[in-house]
Amino acid sequence: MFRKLPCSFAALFLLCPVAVVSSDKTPPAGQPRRGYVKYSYQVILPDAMLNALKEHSPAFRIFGLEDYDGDFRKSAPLTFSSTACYSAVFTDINGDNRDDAVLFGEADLWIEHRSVKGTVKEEYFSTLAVLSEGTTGYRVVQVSRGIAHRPVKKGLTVLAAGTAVDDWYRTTVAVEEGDLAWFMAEGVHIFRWRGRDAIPEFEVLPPLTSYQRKGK
Amino acid sequence: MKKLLIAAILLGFAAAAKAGINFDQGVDVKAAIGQAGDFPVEMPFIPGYSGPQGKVDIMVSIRSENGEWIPIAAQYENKVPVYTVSPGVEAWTTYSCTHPNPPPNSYWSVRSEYKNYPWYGGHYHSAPPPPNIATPAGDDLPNPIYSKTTPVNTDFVFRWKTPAYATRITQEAVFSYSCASTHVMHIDVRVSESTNPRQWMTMPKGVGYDLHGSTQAHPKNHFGTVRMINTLVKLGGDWKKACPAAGNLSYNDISLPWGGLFDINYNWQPPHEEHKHGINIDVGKRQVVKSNREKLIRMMCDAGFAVRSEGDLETEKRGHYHLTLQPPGQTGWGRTAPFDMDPLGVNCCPANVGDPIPDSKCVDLYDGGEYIPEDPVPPSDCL
Repeated sequence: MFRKLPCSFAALFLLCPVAVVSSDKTPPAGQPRRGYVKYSYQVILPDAMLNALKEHSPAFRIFGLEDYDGDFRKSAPLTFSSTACYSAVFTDINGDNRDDAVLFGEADLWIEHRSVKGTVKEEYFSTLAVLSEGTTGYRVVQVSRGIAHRPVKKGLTVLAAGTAVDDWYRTTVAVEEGDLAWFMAEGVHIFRWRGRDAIPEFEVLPPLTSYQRKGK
Repeated sequence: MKKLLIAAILLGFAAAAKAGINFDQGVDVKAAIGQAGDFPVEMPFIPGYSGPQGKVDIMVSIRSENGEWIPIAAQYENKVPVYTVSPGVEAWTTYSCTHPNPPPNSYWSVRSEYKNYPWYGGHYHSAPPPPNIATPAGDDLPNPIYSKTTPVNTDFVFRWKTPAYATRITQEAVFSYSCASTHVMHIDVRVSESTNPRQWMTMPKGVGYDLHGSTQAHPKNHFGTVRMINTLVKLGGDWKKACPAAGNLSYNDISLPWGGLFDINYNWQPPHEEHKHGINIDVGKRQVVKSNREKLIRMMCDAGFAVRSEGDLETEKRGHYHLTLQPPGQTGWGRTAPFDMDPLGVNCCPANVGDPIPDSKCVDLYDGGEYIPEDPVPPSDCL
């Protein structure tokens, strides 16, 4: 599920391009060859984070690039970074100067709901926050859960302060520095940490569109 | 010189015939307008033409659902003919120059240019610009479009498709030779319900509801049939009586002033499949506390709406109820609402008054497929 990184500092995430030589497909005569190189990435958690995650959700698997929809990847090109990719971001969420992680993946989570067909089970994807606690510990909090749709079309990001437009009221909403968000083909979904004692800890803001970073 | 001129004209007809142009009525549009590469072309100008003065006739027809071509009667606005047609139908514009007894070699031609004014339909946005008017096959209609030089008493016809969005299309036709004159007409593309001011109106302010969703791009977003508006006004009042301590219902997007495609992303495309005919509205879910939602669903079904819950799919950003007004005298009980954005949404009206709400998603809140926790849920404040 995860790859261990035997270190305690905050080198949490590694983006690794994987070169694949496409030798099996020969393009038709007269057409240029396409797709020589395929990229992927791997999220590497430090031991303490990994242990907390395994304890909370043993089956959790962070989505990889291959889980993502092709059109989504074209509309939201992946920016190489050691702290962010579609399915994981690393940032200090709770303000203790230690990096926290927000991870998007699947954990074989099925939830029942009542429907015209009777009680049916439906699969959900999970977004989990691995939050630092004390000087070395971590705890895991569910940020959200969403009905499973494959291939995946939502990417995580950490937003800079700015504004966005509420999808329903068309009013302007302030985006705070460090707000976590799903970016989708259209609009953003913001999750804001409200504090350890809040229920739930992460507030889900109404859907927003037209996010604009402050000063741009 | 005159003989040379006549010979040139006859040669022109022969060339046209060779190119597949049929001067009979009902010519195929591709043949009539020539090959795509021919446009724009300059009309031949032959000085000294002295044929008879003919009479211009213009006709706009639309294809009915059963394939019949129905001529549209013009209304007049400041003496300019206005033809009203529905969005998304095949139309046929016919220009002709007639004379009861035309001498040999009398002919005419026309240059027709259109301009598109979507703000008549309620669209105050232009980035991206509205798509060009298209032929029924989906190609751009040439603009301007030129007829060939044609014998008097022979029609020039071109087929096109009215856009899915409401708009006013102004066509200016410049006729030459035997019918030398300029004619302007408006073609209003709008849903038929919107053409009768006694049956179509905008939503007034009222008790128990607030109106939302107006934007600079679509400033007037609450037009609907009179029966729809009256039903919504009554629903708001009934809601206030049933749940006086609860907040107002949030009404969002019925239809644009002339109906037609409601492109909420301002790109002349769905996702709204409905909201075209003034009988759909979205009612916000977040504005209703979870413990009041079942009450609201039952009130909406009883008022005559089929109710769908949307938002539990990625394609629907915002949790809301999508309502479709049923025909007169019908309630929403057991009715299945057509889908608006995604066919997988859930219907919320039970088959019978006393039956449970058919799907728990009707009461739960989802935005874009994300489950939104609402615990702790306060008790219902409905009476």
